[in-house]
Amino acid sequence: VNRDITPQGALQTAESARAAAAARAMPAWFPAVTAALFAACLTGVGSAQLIGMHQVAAKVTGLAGTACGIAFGLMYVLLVVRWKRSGVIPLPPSCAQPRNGLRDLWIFAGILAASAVAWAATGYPGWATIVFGIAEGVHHWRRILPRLFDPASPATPAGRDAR
Amino acid sequence: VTSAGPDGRPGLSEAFATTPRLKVSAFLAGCAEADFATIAEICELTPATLSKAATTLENAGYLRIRKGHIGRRPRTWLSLTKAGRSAFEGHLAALSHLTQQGQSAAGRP
Repeated sequence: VNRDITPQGALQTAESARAAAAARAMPAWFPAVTAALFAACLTGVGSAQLIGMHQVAAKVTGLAGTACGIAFGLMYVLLVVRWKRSGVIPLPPSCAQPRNGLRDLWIFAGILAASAVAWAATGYPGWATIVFGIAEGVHHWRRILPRLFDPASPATPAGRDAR
Repeated sequence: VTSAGPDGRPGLSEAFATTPRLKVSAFLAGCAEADFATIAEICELTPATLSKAATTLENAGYLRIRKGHIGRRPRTWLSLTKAGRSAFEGHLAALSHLTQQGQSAAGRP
């Protein structure tokens, strides 16, 4: 037992210190924006494949999709810079919620299977790209969102936008 | 020094027996790695107190200290080792067990 505080006091101290660290993971808007960019990237690229690469519309959607993909990558680079500047590198979602690691793997396998089915059913790889982009975008959003809003998660809503 | 808990897992640990060491360990349990100055600021510890707590935890094998740079500024990064995380979770579980025991004893007629 801690020499200077009661077990209950020690637990409360530990809980608030842990929550203060976990709360600095990412801004509240980050999961939704990155999920939308990921889905938009693959939807743009998939649409370009469906339209036909030589059409002007295909070039526009393809370029827009590529731009969203670059923005998606850039958002993560900026997030890492933000972590380093703030002085707290958060735990990866699989470590913060280890029980969800296997579930995420199964969901990812399901998304890959759904994309393959879309390809087989339509005969166009563009549909597989679109299905994968939207489904994986939603999964990405759901995977990192609980860290901000789930009360059982180490992160707390109160400090989600700290720094 | 770590005593075994009721289920055989690591229980209360002497390494977390002071408030500064408990705060530092709890903060590091909530993240992968953190900067010395940030921990001192958020945990409301003086650099000297944090340094002493970090050295004790490092000697116990529970904490890793890494020197790095952000631009030209030198930074000291602290993180819990795997053994440190395990011992800290065991310590919290033992504290929780003690709290429950105390509450049930207080509730007895």
